[in-house]
Amino acid sequence: MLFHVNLALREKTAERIMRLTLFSGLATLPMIWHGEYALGLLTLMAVYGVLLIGLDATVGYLGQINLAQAALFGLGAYGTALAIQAEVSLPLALLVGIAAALIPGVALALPALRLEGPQFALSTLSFATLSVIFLNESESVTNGALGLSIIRPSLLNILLDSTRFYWLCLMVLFVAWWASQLLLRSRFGLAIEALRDSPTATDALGIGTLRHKALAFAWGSALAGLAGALHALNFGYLQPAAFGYDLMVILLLGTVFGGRRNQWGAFTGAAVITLLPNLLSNRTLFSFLVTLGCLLAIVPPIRALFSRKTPSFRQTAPVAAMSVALVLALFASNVEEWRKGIFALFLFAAVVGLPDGIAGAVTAILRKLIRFAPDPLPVASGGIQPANSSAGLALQASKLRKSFGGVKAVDNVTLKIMKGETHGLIGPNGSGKTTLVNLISGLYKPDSGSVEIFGVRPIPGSLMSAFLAGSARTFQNLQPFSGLTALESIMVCQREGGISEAMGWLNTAGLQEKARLRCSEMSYGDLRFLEIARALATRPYVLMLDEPAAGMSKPDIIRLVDLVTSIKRAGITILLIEHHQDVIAELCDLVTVMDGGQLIAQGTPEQVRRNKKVIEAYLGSDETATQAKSEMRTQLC
Amino acid sequence: MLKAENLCAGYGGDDAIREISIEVVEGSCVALVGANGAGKSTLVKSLCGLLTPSKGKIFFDEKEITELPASEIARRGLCLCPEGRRVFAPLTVEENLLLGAYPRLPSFGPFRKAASGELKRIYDMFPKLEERRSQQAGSLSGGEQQMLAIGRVLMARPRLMILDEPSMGLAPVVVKEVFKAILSLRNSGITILLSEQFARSALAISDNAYIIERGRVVLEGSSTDLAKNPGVIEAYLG
Amino acid sequence: MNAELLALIQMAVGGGLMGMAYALVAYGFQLTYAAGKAVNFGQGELVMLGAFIGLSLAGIGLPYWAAVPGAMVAGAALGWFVERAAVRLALQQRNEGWILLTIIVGLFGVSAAENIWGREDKPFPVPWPDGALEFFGISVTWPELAIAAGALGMMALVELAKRYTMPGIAVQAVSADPDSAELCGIRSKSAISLSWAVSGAAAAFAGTIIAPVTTVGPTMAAALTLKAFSVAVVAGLDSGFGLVLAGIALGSAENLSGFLLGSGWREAPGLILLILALALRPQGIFGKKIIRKV
Repeated sequence: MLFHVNLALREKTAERIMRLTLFSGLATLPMIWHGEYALGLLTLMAVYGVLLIGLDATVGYLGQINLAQAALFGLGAYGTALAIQAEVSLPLALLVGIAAALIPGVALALPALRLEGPQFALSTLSFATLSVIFLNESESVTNGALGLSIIRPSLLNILLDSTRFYWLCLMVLFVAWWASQLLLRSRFGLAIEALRDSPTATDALGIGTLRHKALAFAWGSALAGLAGALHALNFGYLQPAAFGYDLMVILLLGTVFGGRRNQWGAFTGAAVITLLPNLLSNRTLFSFLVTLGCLLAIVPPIRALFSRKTPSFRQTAPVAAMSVALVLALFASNVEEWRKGIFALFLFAAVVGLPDGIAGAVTAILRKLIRFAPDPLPVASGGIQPANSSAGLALQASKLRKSFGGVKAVDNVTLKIMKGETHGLIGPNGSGKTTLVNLISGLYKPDSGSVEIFGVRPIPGSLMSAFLAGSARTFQNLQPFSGLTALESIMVCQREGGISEAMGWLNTAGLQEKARLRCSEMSYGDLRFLEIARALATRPYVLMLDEPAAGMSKPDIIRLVDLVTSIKRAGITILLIEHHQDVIAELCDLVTVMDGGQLIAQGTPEQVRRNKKVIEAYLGSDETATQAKSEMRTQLC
Repeated sequence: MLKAENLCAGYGGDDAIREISIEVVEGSCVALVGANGAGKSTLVKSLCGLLTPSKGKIFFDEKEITELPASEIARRGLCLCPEGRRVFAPLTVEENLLLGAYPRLPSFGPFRKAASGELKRIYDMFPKLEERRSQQAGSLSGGEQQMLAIGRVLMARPRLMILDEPSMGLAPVVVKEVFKAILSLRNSGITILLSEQFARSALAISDNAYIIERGRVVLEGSSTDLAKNPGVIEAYLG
Repeated sequence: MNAELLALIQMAVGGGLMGMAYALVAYGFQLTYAAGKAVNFGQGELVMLGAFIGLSLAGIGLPYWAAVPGAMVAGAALGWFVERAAVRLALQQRNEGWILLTIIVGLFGVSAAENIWGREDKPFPVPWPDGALEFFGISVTWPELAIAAGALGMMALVELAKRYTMPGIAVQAVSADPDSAELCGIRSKSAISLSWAVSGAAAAFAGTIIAPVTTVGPTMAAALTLKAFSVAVVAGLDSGFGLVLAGIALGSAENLSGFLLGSGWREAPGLILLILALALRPQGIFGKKIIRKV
């Protein structure tokens, strides 16, 4: 960017000011923009806003395609409508609406959230279809396809005319927005972001995957129910078919177009889907907007051409989609007949070309234009504290076996580590070290054998259970929470303590300067230190480090050795996989050597280093090759 | 025959190999030696097109292949026998072998017949594979899978064969078998680039070698000289 | 035999024969999932478009035996297009966007069909004789028989091609290990495209054999994607002919629940089955437990 503005405000404060401005503007709008039609649109927008903020919890924050939101919205609407028919007071009817969506939502979430990707989308889609069938067929209650009519009651003796009802909806939207922001910025929200990036790491660090997913889904369902309740009060007439697949597609359009993981995005999306159907009826305006969209879409590929690159699919596909939309806008005899098709084209262009939606794109531009005052860093406190120093076994693996197909990755391995010991695990590539750690930490379920951590036998194959027994681990292939900052990555792992303790852990790992950096922007070496800090923040008894020095530069390795030494001094038991012999020699009390899935030697670093079997395992023997050579010769003769 | 100039590559962020230049002359056997995590596999993957280098150029037969996809590079006769064997576990041993010759075989009709000569040669070399020709490749032992992986590459009639860690995770007896196979390939005139952590064995069977440490070439020269160089052992044991 | 029981059996048989068509669409999911770990959430729309294209080809005077292969060619092209436009990029970036994109492409298909062919249901002409065959008091119409024969024939044909042609084996290799396949000189992108084209052709073919029974209209296949998913989920995406059994079972269950509970509930058993199967086998429908690599 050529220029930018320095603002003394923090980004959070600026956002709050903008939000308050928006809501006061919306609240006064009916004074300027008169008429029932305008009020109807504004009310619908507020209702959709609540609904989309809820949908964003799953589609945005969890990153799972949820196709049940429209149906949950319908269930909420029917719940409220039936409650009002039973002459229940309005606040109670709203609660009934929330419950009508929340209860089936949670019932769906518990089995469905163990699934990922397409499987999750499928189960929500079947749930949605079933719900609509249910509403259609329970004629005695819902009046089936004929529909259900209600009259809006007063709220605590206040007559709700259109304007007042609009204000009510706006208030609900404000509260939903604020509560979602609060929820999703809390430790709970951080956990959701973390588990989207690496469910393996969240499990291994005891953050708990299913619990958080289910809560996020429940929150989304409750908001769907609330929005449904308002919808029922707004229209006064409900039909099951209105809550089917078509509405779901429109909602997805709103979420994707507006921008995910962002309440502003949900609001923008709500505005778009409220106005879009009305746009289709005004042909001139519609053609103008499509042309504008086309021109915007064509900018990235032209810029690519100017810098002499072939435009990528991501750049050209939106142009193609928008061009088809333009052709339809200009030549189709009736644009409204093509409604679905035009929605599809817009959605396609948005999913491919605007992955962060309108709100995401605008935020990115604003962040470039305006420099906000940085958030102050918290004062560090805490750090590594001495662990209990009783003697005895810390970790015991007995007769572990694991094979993949015909390959025995770990073959009858028995390993004992005493409390407070730093135990090295070495061996050539593919000798089964990482598989062994995966078995101990519960990522893999052993074919046979058992593991005991501080006297507890965790459930085989459960990361969470091994964590609860007192272990924590790092990963050879980094598992960063890319969407979080370094500080947030620690906070999400903490069992106790607040932001200053989190800062303390960063200090311990020498990362205090990088606290506000996102993991996606951090260097490889820093991420390795962050993984260790993350594991330490869970206050483990046993720490398993899988090749912490891999890919590190010399000075970083020295830092690493210092860090592990201080962990060791605190009495934490360490299992260290490492290739750098100097690191092993400096840190380890005992070393175990693996080769071909078996233990081949154990001893002090010095003993192991001189062991002939170990040297052969590492370097191969001269004999292997010479023997092979001589055998070849005899064969040739 | 194969030449890499100032190659840099890695997986997002920092490069795992930096400014590496190597050369393989036709008919020779060259070893890449280095400890675990030194960058051998990254180098080999970029040579074969599985990884696009961030900088530098690769030439095969004097033609640039830097940006080509792996399948095109394989079709030109530069074939990799990958680390960890990577056989097609659910397919049979014979299907695995046939796939090695995929670009040459007719799509329909008697492709087994078209490959029968080659198949016979591989089976003569590794009689175990013939015994298990209709067994699923995933059910083979580690050593057998390595033989299959080598056999699969041979089916392609490679002009230059890259072996990435052929001894990885194998028992010592099996490692000997593998080296025997490599020696016999060498004698049959195939150019070989061998990436190997077993320094002594690799130096014993190669003509020239590059010692790689932390993503860079630290020593290069004839294998017999390097075998006597104390610096090599040091690179391993620190 | 009592008449009511006979009527029930009649329902079950009719539904079972229709279920073979579900199995065929589910088979299409198997193909693309194996090759590229993605499925087309708009597969039902491909079935519908296949039927319409077949109808149009017959409408311009082509005989049935040419119209059906014509529809299959168009289906293959559409399947290829879906992979290219909606799936490839998102899968490279390892995100779930492809689910949305395949839904979107399907949606556009419906809209296009509504505007090109109209919203009304149309009959699909077939060269089969009118009337029905009777087996032990159960009558089976010719179009129903054609569904069974067509679905089984198509699946058998593709299975044979997968085992006994080099491209077929190559597609299996790509699904087992794409990098390794590339190293063998197999262009894994083409192999994935090929499996999507075959899956599209199977969907279009399913359209032409269902249409004589259900008539052709933009909404004819609205629920088909889900039903075929249920079949695929229950059978497991790696078990070839388990699909046929699951398809027959689902088709029968549908007809029976429609008869016993009321026509609105027809779709319910498939959906409940799908949720249950997913809940009870969380490692997935799609077969084996995935080993997480770290």
